[in-house]
Amino acid sequence: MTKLTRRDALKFTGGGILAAGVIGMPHIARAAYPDRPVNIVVPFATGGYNDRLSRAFAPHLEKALGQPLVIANKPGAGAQLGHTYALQQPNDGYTILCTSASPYIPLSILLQGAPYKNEDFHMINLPSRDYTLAATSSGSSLKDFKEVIDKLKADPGSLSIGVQPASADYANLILSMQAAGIDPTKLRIVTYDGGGPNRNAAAGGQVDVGFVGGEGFLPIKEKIKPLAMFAAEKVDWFPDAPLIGDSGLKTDFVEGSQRGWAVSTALMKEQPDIYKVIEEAVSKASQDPAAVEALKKQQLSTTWYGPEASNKAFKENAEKMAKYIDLLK
Amino acid sequence: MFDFGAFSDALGIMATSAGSWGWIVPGLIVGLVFSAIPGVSITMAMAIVLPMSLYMDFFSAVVFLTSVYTGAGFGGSVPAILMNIPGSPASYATTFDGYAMSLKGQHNEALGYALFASTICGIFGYLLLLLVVEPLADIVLGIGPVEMFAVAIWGMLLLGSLGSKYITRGLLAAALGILIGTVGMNTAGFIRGTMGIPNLLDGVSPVPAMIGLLAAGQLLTLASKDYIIDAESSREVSLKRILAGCWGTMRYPGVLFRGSIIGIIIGAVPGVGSSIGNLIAYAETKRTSKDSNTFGKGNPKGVIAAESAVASAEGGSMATMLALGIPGGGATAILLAAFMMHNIVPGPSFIQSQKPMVYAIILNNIVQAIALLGVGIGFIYVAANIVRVRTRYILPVILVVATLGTYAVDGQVAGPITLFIFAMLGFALVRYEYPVAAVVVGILLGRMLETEFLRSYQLSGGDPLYLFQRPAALAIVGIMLASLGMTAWGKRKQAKQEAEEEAAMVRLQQEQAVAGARK
Amino acid sequence: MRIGNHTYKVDYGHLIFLTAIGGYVTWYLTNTMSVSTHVNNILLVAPVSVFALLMLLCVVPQCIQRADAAEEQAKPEQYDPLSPKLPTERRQVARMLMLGGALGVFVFSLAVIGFDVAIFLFALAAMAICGERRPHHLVPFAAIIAVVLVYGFKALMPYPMPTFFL
Repeated sequence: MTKLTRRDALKFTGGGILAAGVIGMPHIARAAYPDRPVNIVVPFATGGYNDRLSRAFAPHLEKALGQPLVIANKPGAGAQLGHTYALQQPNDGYTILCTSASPYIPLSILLQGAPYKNEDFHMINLPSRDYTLAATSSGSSLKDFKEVIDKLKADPGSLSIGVQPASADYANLILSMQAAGIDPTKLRIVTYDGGGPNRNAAAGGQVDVGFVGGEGFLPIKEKIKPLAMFAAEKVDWFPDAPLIGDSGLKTDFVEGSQRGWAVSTALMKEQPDIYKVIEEAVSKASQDPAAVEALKKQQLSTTWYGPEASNKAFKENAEKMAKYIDLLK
Repeated sequence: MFDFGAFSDALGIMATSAGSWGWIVPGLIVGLVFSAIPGVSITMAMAIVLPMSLYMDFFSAVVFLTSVYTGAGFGGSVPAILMNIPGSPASYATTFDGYAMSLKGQHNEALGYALFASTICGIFGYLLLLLVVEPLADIVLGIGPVEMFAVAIWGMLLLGSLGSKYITRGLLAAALGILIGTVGMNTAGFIRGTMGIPNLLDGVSPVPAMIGLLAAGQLLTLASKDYIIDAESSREVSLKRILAGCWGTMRYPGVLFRGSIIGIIIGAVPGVGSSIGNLIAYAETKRTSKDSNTFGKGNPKGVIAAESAVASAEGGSMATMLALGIPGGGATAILLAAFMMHNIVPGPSFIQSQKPMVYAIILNNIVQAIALLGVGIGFIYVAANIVRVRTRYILPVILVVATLGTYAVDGQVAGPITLFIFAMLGFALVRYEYPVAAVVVGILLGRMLETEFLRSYQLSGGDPLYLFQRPAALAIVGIMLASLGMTAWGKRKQAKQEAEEEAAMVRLQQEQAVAGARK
Repeated sequence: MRIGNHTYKVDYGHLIFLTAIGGYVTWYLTNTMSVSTHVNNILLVAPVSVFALLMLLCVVPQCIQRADAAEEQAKPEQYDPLSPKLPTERRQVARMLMLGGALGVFVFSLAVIGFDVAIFLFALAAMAICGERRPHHLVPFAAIIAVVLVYGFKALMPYPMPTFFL
């Protein structure tokens, strides 16, 4: 992909014939940030979690920033295209990312050779955390995760398992199988290319057990039986799901998704004043009672963790993924 | 099943919230306009109007958004009929006979047929939904990879009915299409054929590819014509003829019924949408028709079959959303978000506890479908004027709109570039007499074929006898084979009949010649 | 070309096209196999590729026709929208190719010179190719197309659109 932006192209084509174009570039002398609409880049198609989050949060962030927001969806290649696009934009604070930082940033680097590094992104706040949930259909005879392990120990092909390849869920599946001493290559794994189809397959009994992000299960809670949530503590949005630790299995795991707001690290370092304005606006909007209420209704998160905690969580999870990357290949 | 108490409560909701009915017409117009532009999807339309609905009360918001959805279900057939550009894969089969009718000067009738088929089957779809919305949830969840694979194969059978002078070239074209459809990362995470271009990780974008392939064969050849329709007398826009088309739809209840059933079932399956239902409905209608040789040359039944499946699929995917809280596609995902904004979470418990509301929503969709008749006639009356503009003015606009439409698919120049590359491929295919449609269908279905075949293989552990554990899949395969068998039987009978007729004609001509010689 | 007693006509264009298709399918197959030979990767792609290559071999002889047979085939046929024919008249073909060429320049220039300028220039070219020569029709109409479509699409889609003036 060419790194030429339109602005660069204009520079190359030179002033002569395009002199009139100068009128089109009024932002050379900068007034106080922000003095024009700010772009929110969502590296996913319309309708997904990040798209919904950005659209629901936008009115509140607009109020805090004092400028309208333009939501730009840049989907494709496991969010790689949108992330690349966001980093290519001018370093002026008019581009904010609303993305599933984890697992998409580390995975696109580790598996697809994306042209950026984890360190290129600076997290402002990652309110939404999702965890892998092993679940079965509500009509299934499986009682708990221990029974799954026992059955697979006896015959690794006895249960079919639905999972997305190259995902945090897949890593958790393999880690737990290894911890239980089951050969993962002998499992009957059915691959899905999205969380939705995988959940439907688990709820409908197409596969015996599905390993997939738990939050998406909420609307069809009645159709599934949660077996094990791959989280360290009880998850507030699904309190009745047993934790993986409860099954008696000692296994490491990675967090499913960390979604929220980010900018380029370059902005944070080179334009600290502008960055401060954005951080304060996100912080203010996240804690605005109106925003909290509006987003809660749509089952979207606003919890304010702040940049320090968010970056720490992102970094730790990314490192864990790098450690277990061989499992995903 | 059907709850009469809840139904009368639903009528109550409808009556007390009559104010929200005012949102039907604006919603329909928004949906029609967005979807009539190739590449601009229903999802996009709904994402953009979603913030507006925030300030409405719940029922108004739902009425407005579902109206957009209803309008968008029909809008795609307008460019398909008038310009041979399907607005989305769902209206691909509409182009077969729709555009052919336009070329014959029957664009008024074609649009009428499409509109009426769309509304009648939309209503039918929702009526059926009223009855089965509850059990539907379990049926939908019971559909697994084997069933889906059988459906995909059924879609591919369309190719057999398209006919081509050279069977080998048709098969080569179809195989090429399937291969192009599998480019990128497959469902098991393997990445093939991307040439290192990140855009191709998700595969070749089907809408730009489809528009490009079709543009080469037909759009660009318009450059040498003065108008889209040759005969000057045919270029009229006539309300009377649109209505005649609408009315004519009623003569084909069988086609409407079959299309609706196919559409509802396939539309209800999450993630498949209506892009395959229209192909199957078209192929089945053609195969079972006595006049199957006129399909593709402007047979109204082709338009009706395709549109009926598209419209009824809306009811199907709405049902899945209400009953399961699972969005079948992007558009229903937005609807879901709108529901949640108003503290309502669709799903099994919603259906149980709020049945009157569910019925009211379905009933309102039926009202919308009826309103679509009026709004739709106005819309196609305006849109049909395209045929009266000289190509030198309209062709640049069509080409720019199509190109921008491919950009609008995902906001990347990759879309327009895909359009151009596939236009070049299309040129070569048409030049050397390959059926372009085979490549298009291959691209549309290639990914689904591979995904479902692979999952079936993984589930069964490679044991073909697994098929016998899946009665639904067996049933689909059975219906498919029966349909094929009956066609072959019918064809034989028909061929025999035609041969007899031809012999009779020859005899008649000979007699006339003899009589002429005597004079 | 003469073989034995018959004169044969070879459709070289078609042969080149087949070579390109064959080349692509072969490349795709080897590319897929080089990624992994796991069943999950080649289950559909490998058999379909092989099938495509087999079909291709069946089509190759169709590029070579006996001269007398070729003439016999060139009779007028009924128009069938599902298998459209390209125009044969030289002027028409030239127009079509020029329009195709203009489309190519258009799609590659969009991001470089801005959508507005590219649309204006393409509309100008397309109208000229289609036969409009009067400048006082060309320029305003192309400008209107550019303005209306750029603003229209900006309102319709959730993506940024790089433009030069608008």
